[in-house]
Amino acid sequence: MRTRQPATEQYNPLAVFIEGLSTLFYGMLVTWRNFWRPKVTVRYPYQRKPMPPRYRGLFYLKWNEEKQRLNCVGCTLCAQACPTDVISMVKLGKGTNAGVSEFTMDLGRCLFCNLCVEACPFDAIYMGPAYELASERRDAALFRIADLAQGGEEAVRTNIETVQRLMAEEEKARPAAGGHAG
Amino acid sequence: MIEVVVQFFRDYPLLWTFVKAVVLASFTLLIPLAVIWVERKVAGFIQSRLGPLHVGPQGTFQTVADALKLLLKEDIVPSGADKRFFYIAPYIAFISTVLSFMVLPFAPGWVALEMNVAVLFVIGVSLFNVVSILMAGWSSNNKYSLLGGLRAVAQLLSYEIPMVLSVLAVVFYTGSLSLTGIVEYQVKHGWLIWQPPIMIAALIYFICALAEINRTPFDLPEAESELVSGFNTEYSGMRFAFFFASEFANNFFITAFAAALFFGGWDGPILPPIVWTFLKVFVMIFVFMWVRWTPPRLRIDQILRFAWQFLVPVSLVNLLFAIVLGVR
Repeated sequence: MRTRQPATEQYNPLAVFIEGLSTLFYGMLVTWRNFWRPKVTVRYPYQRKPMPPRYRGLFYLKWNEEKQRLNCVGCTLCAQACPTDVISMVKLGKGTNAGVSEFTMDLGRCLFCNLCVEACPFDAIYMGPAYELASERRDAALFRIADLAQGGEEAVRTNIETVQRLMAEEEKARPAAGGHAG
Repeated sequence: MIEVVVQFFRDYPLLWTFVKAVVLASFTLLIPLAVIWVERKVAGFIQSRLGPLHVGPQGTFQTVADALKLLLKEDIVPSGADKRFFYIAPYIAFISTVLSFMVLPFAPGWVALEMNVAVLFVIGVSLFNVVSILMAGWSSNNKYSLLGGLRAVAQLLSYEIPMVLSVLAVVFYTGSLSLTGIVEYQVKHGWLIWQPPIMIAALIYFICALAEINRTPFDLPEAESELVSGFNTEYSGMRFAFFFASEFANNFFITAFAAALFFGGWDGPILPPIVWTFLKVFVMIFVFMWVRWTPPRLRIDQILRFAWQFLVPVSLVNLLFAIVLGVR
């Protein structure tokens, strides 16, 4: 029911009533349709939505199946790009075939800003779809290399073996240039 | 076995009355659990949600859990409250609802008190609800409660008149003030809703019922966005639960009353009468909830204008038609 009418317009209660009633029934139709529509609720602990491909979840270090190693060479470009000093690593070996033996991320400090991923020239670090990262303990936010590497513990071991083998091969191939390599 | 028990109670009328009172009071306390569950489910579905899900199958026991929680809550009385009225208000609301249920026929013979002026009685005791709301609003020493209470009284008294006039049309049509009599008339002559003047009376009754039980287009007494929670703002724990229970039991009652007046009460094919009563009641409750989630809230002046300038004249004219067409 409209109450205040423009002075020029003749107030016609019946027309107002019919208009009000028709809009009411139209509204009822809208809610009735909505009643039968599929529900948008995701019953979270029981149901999960697939994450979009560019979702910024838990980091992972990419496993290179062909070379049997992680792509990471331990160049620390990601650690230098990081604004909150999340990343620390221990480099294994040297040169183009170097790797990492230790790669730790303190996600308690992480902003999930993607700068480390953008900084990486070796396709080594990415953000994955995992998102349940909250914990009751502070040290649970500390993710070590085995938690981050694709393939876990096994991959880390193989990675170290591969890098060490590569380093040994390089050492052998290098022309003897004195004993000060250590 | 049941006959023996019933016969035993019939031999002691006082005891039998006591049993009926206990059954009615528990019914009035328990039916809101079902109505509130339906309300939350319907609200969820209309808003593309699922509603309560976890406690019991499809969340059926969610309201039971909520009621238990309210039982355990602290009972807070505001410091400046008028304590006696503050204490007693929710129970008056609840008792008025129990009293209305007393004369409601659920099925042939299933009525606590066969009364030949049941309609009058219902209209009388339902006004106690207004008293309790005013008491709650006045005694809480809170501006929101007071405004809610005043709005409630203005609104409920305004809508009482067209409601009674539309009920009166039914009374003139059937020539009976007894609810059982009205239902029996409909069993014999067909539902009253198909009679043109009663159809309009039913529509007016429906609108007034929405206002009487403070549901959404007319929920000014507890307008959340303006008055926190209206007249029951200061209530907590068990007292709040009683207000809440009485509100939803009233919701059930006012639809059951409409079912008896317009939709033939327990009348219906195949299914047993009690099932028909509940079916009609819950269909109407669904419509109430459907309305609740559709139109926005009116202003107090719009509500009162609508009642006095539109509903009262229309129901008076309609009553005249009902008398002309109905009285034989």
